[in-house]
Amino acid sequence: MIFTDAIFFAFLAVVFAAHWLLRGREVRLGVLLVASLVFYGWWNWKLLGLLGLVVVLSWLTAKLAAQRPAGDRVRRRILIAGIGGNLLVLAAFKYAGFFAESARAALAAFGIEAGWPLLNIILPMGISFYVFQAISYIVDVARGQLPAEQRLRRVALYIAFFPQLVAGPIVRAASFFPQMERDRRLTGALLASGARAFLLGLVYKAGIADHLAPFVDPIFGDARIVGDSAVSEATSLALIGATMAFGALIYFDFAGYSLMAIGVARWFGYYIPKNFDYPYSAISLQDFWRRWHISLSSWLRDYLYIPLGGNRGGAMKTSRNLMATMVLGGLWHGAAWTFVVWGAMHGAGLIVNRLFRRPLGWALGLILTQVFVLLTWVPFRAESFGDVLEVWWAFTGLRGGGTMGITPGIFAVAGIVALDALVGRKARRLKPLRDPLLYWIGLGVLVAAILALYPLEAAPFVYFQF
Amino acid sequence: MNFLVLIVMAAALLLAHVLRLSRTGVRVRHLIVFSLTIVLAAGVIRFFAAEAGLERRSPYDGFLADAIARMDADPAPVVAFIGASYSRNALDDRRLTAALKGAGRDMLAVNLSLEGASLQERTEHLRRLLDRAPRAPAIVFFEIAPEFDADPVYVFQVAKFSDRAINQFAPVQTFRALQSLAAGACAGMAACVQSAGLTLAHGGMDALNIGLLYASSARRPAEVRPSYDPQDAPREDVDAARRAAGLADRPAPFEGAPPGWASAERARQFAMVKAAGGEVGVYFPPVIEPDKRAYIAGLCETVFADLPCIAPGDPALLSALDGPVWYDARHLMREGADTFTDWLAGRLDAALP
Repeated sequence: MIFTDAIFFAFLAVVFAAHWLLRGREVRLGVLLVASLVFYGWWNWKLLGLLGLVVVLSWLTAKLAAQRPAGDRVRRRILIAGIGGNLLVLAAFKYAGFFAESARAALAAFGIEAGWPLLNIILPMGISFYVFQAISYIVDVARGQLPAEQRLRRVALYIAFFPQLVAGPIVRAASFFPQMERDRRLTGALLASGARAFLLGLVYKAGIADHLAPFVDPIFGDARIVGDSAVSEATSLALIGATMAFGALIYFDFAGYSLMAIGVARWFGYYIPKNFDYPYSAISLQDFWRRWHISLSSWLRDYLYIPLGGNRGGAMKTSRNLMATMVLGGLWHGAAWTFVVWGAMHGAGLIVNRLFRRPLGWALGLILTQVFVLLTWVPFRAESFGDVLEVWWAFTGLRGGGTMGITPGIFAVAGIVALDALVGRKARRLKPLRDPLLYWIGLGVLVAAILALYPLEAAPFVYFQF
Repeated sequence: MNFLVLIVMAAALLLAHVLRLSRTGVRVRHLIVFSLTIVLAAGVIRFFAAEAGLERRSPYDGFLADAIARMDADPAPVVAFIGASYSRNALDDRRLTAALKGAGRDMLAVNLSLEGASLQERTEHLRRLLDRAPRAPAIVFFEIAPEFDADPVYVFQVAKFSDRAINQFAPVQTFRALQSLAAGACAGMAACVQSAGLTLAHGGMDALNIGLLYASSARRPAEVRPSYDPQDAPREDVDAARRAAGLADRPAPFEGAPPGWASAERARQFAMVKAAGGEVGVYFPPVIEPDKRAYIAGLCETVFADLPCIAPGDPALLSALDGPVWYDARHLMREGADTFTDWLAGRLDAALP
């Protein structure tokens, strides 16, 4: 069940009605918790147990740690065990196969045949997101930003809240728990602001991102549709077009999901922070990471980079911390070396960015940043390093060969990306319409456009695989 | 990416960013304006999509592309076959062409059958053939099967809420489907209500263009491939005794007439072919079930007495098919298809002027 499925709209209608028709804070929280478990179980009910394990582990860790005084050694051990347990769940389900396979390949390079079997572990949807939320809860409690929650169901709802359960935004415990204690009322303003975020997300996802996949998948490969990649058969122009299309796709897909999550949460009276702020208008790599997947980059900053030492201790240590954070951030996205390379490239880029702080000017900064970001999408999307090198080679203009083309019109997608950033940033300063008729006419045109663009075969969100 | 899709995308993006109202509260007239605007905007999008040649796609487009490539390569008069899975599995159009040419009849046979294609869908298939083919077929043969004549919304059995299904329910077709359901073309109240509900839903989806621009523009073009779909292994066990009994059975020809709506739909198909300067005929591939064979046998004697009408009742054909040549009780495997195709070539040679 994904946000663009017809079944999701039916599910949402039922949960919305139940939530607002029933009275009492506890009852409403119960409705949301049950809905969240149904939402997750819809995909694979057997993995509800794993979600439950993460919830119980985090609840117990915070509860036990809170019983000990701050600075106490046992408290510290409890917290480490809780965070370690969560990371172990993530490692077992997401990385065990990857590390086993990498070790096998490394041993094979020395002529040693590994004796262990191939691991084929199912990747539970959203595990990277909900484990990070669980860690956020434990750490926020440990830091004293939040009291330990005695009620298991509160912790369960925080970790499993269905709008952002499977692909974020990663919500901080310190921001979410107080919201659960508020009494809420359904108002026109609440509905309107939710609808606004949801509709924009729907345009991003169903109106734009899903239209770009057919230009990306045939080149880079998509096991669901065409199987292996066709990078070697594609013309250089096709490779550049497909890379640009992927850059746009991943933005509109993930930002679309995040906006829909924000909209749905708002309909239930919850505020989830924004996850994207027009990253393709960034004029430096630091700027880019302040605008791209904000909830993850700020999580990595607060729970990894700063605890590692942050930018304290000189240029070398700062560079080390940056690189470690970005490599782990890359690995968070997927168990593959291509993601590690993607993270390392961004780490290196951020180090260079910090070392040469002289302003480049708006235009040069924008061009250099966006070209770098575009080139780094290649390892993020490509199936192998051979494909990565071939696509990069195509960007030099020196690569010949290949006959598989691409619709030249795909390059117009750059215009859509630019339009989004230009209008989106300006729209914040626009005054709302005073004439309701004008508004409803505009909304009618918008809905007709979304319906015409709407894919009947809903494609899953890209970030669901992470 | 199509220019129209880009414009609609940009418009949606723009509106989604800027639309905000200074106060909340909804009045009835706002909802009326909102609804009317959707309908009007959908009409505008539909108009420009048609102008840009954007249509919903189905596997049929791939079959048609294959047929057109063959028509481009061979200037012979075309004999087209429009049907469903019976014909997809049974009619090898390349083999048929060779057999016809071998018999001294320079014709190009093209199979344009798609599994589960209802009569309404076949009308759309015919329209696309006549619109896109380099020349109109000299003759079009339509497959006749009782279950398709009995159910105006057969497509719901194979492709609910798909581009294929939605494409069949333009307002006129929706009205005709509802009319035929009201006239009894469904079994029992529950089935009728369900079919009517699905018809209205699909009609609404068509009217609002749901998925039109995605279906017609964003997705990869249909794979170019022949409609003929040879099978080499059975998908269900066909009991030898049941097969022999079914093929040997010679029930009396069907004595009734097809339902009125089916006759009307077929009349529209015939008129389209004739308007393009072609002739029409009807046929049905062999099946083990005797009643289905009896249906077309009866219609050949009555309704289609004046047309080339090829019913698979020939005892020699049926006895040749009494072997492990069946994919299931209704569809032939490659070996059976070869037998039928060769037999059909002889029948066509005799039936055509």
